[in-house]
Amino acid sequence: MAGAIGTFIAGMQYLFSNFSEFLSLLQRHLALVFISEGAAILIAVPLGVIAARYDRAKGPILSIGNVAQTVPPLAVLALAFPLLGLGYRPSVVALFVYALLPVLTNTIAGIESVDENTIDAARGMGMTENERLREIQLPLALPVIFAGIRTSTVINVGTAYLAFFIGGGGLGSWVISGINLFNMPQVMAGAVAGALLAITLDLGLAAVEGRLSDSGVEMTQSVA
Amino acid sequence: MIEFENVTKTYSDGTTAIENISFSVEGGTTTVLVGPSGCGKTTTMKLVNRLEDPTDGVVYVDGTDNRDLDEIELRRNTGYVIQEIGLFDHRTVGENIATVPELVGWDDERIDERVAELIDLMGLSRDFRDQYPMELSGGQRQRVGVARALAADPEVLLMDEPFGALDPITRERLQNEFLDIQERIDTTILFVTHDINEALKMGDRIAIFDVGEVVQYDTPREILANPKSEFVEDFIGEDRSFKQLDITPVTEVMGPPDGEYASVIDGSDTDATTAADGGSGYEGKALAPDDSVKNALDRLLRSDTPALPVVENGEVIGVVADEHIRASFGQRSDAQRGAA
Amino acid sequence: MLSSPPSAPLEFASSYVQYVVENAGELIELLIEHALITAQTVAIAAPLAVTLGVAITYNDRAATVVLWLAGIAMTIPSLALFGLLVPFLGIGAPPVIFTLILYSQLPVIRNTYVGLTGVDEAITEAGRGLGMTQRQRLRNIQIPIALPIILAGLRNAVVIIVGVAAVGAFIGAGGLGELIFSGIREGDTVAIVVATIVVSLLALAADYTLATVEQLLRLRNGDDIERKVSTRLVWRALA
Repeated sequence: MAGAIGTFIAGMQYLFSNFSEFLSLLQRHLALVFISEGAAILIAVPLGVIAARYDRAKGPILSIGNVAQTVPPLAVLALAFPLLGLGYRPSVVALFVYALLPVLTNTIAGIESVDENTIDAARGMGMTENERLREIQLPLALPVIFAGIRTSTVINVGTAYLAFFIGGGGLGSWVISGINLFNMPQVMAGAVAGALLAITLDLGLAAVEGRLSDSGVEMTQSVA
Repeated sequence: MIEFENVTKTYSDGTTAIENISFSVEGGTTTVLVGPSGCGKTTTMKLVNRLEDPTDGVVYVDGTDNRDLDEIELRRNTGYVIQEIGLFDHRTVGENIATVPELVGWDDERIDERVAELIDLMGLSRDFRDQYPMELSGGQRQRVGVARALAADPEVLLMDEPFGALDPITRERLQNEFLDIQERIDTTILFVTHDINEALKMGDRIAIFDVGEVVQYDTPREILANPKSEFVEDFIGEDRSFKQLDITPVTEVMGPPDGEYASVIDGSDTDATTAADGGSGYEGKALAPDDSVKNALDRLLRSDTPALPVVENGEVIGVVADEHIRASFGQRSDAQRGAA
Repeated sequence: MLSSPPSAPLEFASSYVQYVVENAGELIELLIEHALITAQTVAIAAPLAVTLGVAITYNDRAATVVLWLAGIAMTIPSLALFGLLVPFLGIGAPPVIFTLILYSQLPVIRNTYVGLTGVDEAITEAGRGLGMTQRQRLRNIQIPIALPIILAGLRNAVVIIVGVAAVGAFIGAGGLGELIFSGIREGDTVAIVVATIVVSLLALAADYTLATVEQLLRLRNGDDIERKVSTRLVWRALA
């Protein structure tokens, strides 16, 4: 235990004595995560909404999506290398691809999960398909869609560590080179920062998710 | 025999479900606990197999304070049927029925025989034995529920709204079947319902509950004839006389076959006496001895004769006319008034 | 060799075939190593998580705390966790297996808990009324009904384990990740592609196998489900 605390303190000392380097690594890490995640959301949500409309499309998309999610994150990043080369951009593309699926499948599942009776009621009130989507299905699906975004973002923070292997930079650089050089304070500094980042993002997004599902419940009640 | 002695049940949140209840249930009979929801009838029932324990007072099962009995053993000796049925969906119908016999360690052969016997008793197809509950209809599922409760031949059977979730037609069919089964088994039955009609139909005795207390404990006929309070009267409903007619057999009101209606029932048809089996003359008019007076009245209203014969084994044993029904009810209420 | 030069795609494909043929021994060895790390993890993680999942059904507060902690553990990036453990457990398999155990807790604990507490109350009430002890209800009713759900959690966990174990090669745990890392280091495209395909296939195979077992358990419980081809085959073979 004393050893653990010692290593931790050494790690924090390393972090603060190399603070400007840390900030640039963190900045790069956040850039990797947010750019890839943002792009994934912008593509996956509309795609999911469209797919949910076509019975023939959503089945295959869901099952391919679920199968593709079993592909390990390291495999996705490693494949970016032969296809796109080394560096920051290939890393962003790989992270984007990996972030895409949870959002896509959750969007479809969220829209699918809206109670048939609710949709029937909306249809009975004379809502068009677009109105039903906008007024009923999307608001009710929002908590589920957001849960997908949350999962995807948290995984993304972890996967972005691996980007360093293909030259993408980020906090992985301290951890990976630290392990290579057996520089434990450096490893500790890089690891603790990322762990805290992931946990903070998760808790923050969970809070938003909680709010969304509360309002989702209110929506359901007002519809019913 | 089950005896409730000054039983009170208060829950930990302070609500009192029942207060100072005393009544006893005779062995081999069916007692119905009836009342509006939240009146404590289910709690009362659960005190018997110790799914609940009383806060005060004693519940005796066969003369023993049931808290002196091992609760697991007590429950295994007590059949239990609930409205939601609670079949084990992951086990076949046969395995469901065999639950308690297996728990108490019967040998396979005996279990096998018993399951087959119960499937027959409940009027289920033998093919169901290896099927899963999901594949059955609601009525079939509850038949399995009852079979499971009866499997180890319990001395006491507790039924909590057993037919409450079924559609009216299935419910009535199951009630009738259960009345038949009830005659063939020698089990003390405690039956909970909120439906007074079901209570009147199923019960040898009825305990009517108002919030937390038993307001009347009597036979169905007594309750109909002499409701003890306004609450009971309201609970029975406006059509009390109809309900009375419904549970009174025609044999109780009929007049002699050779009286003033002899000519009506005799008529020209000499084969009249075979009428009960639909032979000739009285087709659709003859009554069986266990038909209800309500039934008789209904047929009288629809027929063009002033009287109907009651036929048993091909012989006219009596006759029912409008005046018999009226007179008998008048008399009876007079007699009761006299007694009271 | 061939009198006319082979076309480009053919050449492309043949380099992969050649690689697989030449390195078949090593590929199989690493595949087995990878599968073993996964199996070792499951052997420790599954009993632990199921026990925890059962235990927390008796205490709501414990359930909240345990599920929360397991959730937090899962958000920590794998590489960061390896990094945090190396100072204490050294390099090689131990820190990797420790991390994998930690990651697999949430899906299995959560599904065990949800599966057991999700059993229809009427069913447990009936079990109680028929005179089953708490242990008998757990063993004969709740666990069999929850088993497919528990297995779905395990399936989820195994996919994660296979994926994260690949990263574990970086700190010397072995497995197919080794080939990916050396491929990246040496710029060996063919090695990277082959290794990622094999590791993905391993994950898919594990996922599919466990999905089949899950379906078989559901069938045994009398559920009406749309059966996979594999489920149909095994179910028929067992019948």
